[in-house]
Amino acid sequence: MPKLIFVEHDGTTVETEAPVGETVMRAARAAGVAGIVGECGGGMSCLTCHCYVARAAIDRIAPAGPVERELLGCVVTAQENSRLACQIVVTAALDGARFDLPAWQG
Amino acid sequence: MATQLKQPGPAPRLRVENYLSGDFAKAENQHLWTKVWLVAGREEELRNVGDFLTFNVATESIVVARGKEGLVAYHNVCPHRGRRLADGCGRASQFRCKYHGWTFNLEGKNVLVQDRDDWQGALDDERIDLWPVRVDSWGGFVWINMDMEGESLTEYLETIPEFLDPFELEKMRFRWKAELHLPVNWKVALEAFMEGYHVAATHPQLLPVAGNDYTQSFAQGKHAHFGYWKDMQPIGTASPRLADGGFRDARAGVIEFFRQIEEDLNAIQTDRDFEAAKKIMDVLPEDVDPMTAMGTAIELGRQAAVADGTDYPAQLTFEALAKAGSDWHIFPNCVTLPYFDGAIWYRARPDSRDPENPDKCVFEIWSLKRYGPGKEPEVQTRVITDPFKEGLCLILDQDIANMAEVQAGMKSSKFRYARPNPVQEVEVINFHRTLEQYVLGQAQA
Ligand code: FES
Ligand code: FES
Ligand SMILES: [Fe+2]
Repeated sequence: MPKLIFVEHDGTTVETEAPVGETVMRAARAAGVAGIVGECGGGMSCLTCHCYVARAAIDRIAPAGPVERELLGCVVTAQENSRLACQIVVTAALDGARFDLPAWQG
Repeated sequence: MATQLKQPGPAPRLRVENYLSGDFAKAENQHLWTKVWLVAGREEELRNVGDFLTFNVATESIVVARGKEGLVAYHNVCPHRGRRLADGCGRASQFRCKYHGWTFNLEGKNVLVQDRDDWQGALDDERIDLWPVRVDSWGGFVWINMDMEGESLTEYLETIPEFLDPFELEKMRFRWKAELHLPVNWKVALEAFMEGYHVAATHPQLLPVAGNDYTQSFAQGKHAHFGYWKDMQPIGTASPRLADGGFRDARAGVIEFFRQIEEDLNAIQTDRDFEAAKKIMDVLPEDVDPMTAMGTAIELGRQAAVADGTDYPAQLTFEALAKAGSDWHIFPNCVTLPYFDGAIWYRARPDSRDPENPDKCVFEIWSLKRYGPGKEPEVQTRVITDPFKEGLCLILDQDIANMAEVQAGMKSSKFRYARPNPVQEVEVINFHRTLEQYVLGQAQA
């Protein structure tokens, strides 16, 4: 299974293995990553699964669709490499990808 | 402060219906709360982009947030089918309705309607953004006005900034907060703090040390203040109502005053002021005059503030302090007593869980203080649902004890109107005069 690395805002690192086809949001929650809330369960409306995708992994992920881009536009802590983790599906290519988490979600 | 004129004509009266009538409460909900500037909170609660708080008053709920370009405020209701959007306070990039997930950004714009295509474009012409509310700040307070037209906050406040700006309320931070749920009209709660006429009977323990307790009061447009301008005596001296002269040692009187305020009120003057005041025992002789004793205690308080990383407000001279007086009613629902090092701020409103009930209110007490950088405490609101069982501190408990008795007493068949003191209770008189202009429909909107 591909390995995913989550780095909480305080620097705590959580590594987990996630099955292909799972979303990164669910994989993070299953691994107890505190910085991913995922309140809406992946419905793309709560914005509490916001993460920063490490540069090295960006090309390995399908780009954000128009709705996700619009929603990320509201997020106060958003940066250029921001994504909603619930919209990223785990693939073999994601092995070793790193996701940094913002100071707060919502 | 204006010159006191001889009051000609009949004794002033206050309509008892203003406190007891459900119709009047309903009319307030309609003509008062949605038309005036109201304190929604403190700016310190909205420090970072995304911080929000909700403010419920009467039947309305308002959400105030710090947006990317400053404060924003909206009616806290989802345009879809009316669910309240935000609850309490917190931090968010957007307001997401928990019912069907419609989402609004901090600019109030609708950014997500689930299955929007179902409307086949018809939503484009429909109002689906949040309804804005005017928001501004003064004195470190966040003010809102649901009326999108009309006076600016500055116009609304009239002379208040001229009198109260020197206190730098915006530099103070919460020392403690209490929220009381009271079985009385919101005005009964607030008016307990709108005159000094009650001090002798309600707080007799203050008479030996609080100086001359006789007050005068004056309207300032919609607002009003009272102060100890006539035959003023320094704190630490006894009221002329007492036959004995109070403390022989003026130093002991001053220290006892600060002790009572610290232990029995815990607001206005601060713990730092009390500690500093005790030092007058070491630096002043036993036979010092009361004015020097008070002045020295205040100067030591200022030095203690400086040592703690802050200061007393630079513009707050003794003249400015005297000009402001002791207590301000800020129409409609706030009262403050500000001082060099701290202030107390009261806010009253109908209980929004039962907004048309004239016998219920939520009454908040905020103690504010100047802190050195980084020394501000994390403050939780103490919520008291039965204030007659759970006390706060002596002075406030004495004031609160009057409230329920007033609300009950006014229901007597014999009590048709109140008879306020024309010299000392002008804050209350002016309050009802202004209130009736709004509520009974004579306001110049
Ligand atoms: S889980 Fe809610 S937007 Fe991703
Ligand atoms: S009531 Fe808010 S989305 Fe339906
Ligand atoms: Fe009192």
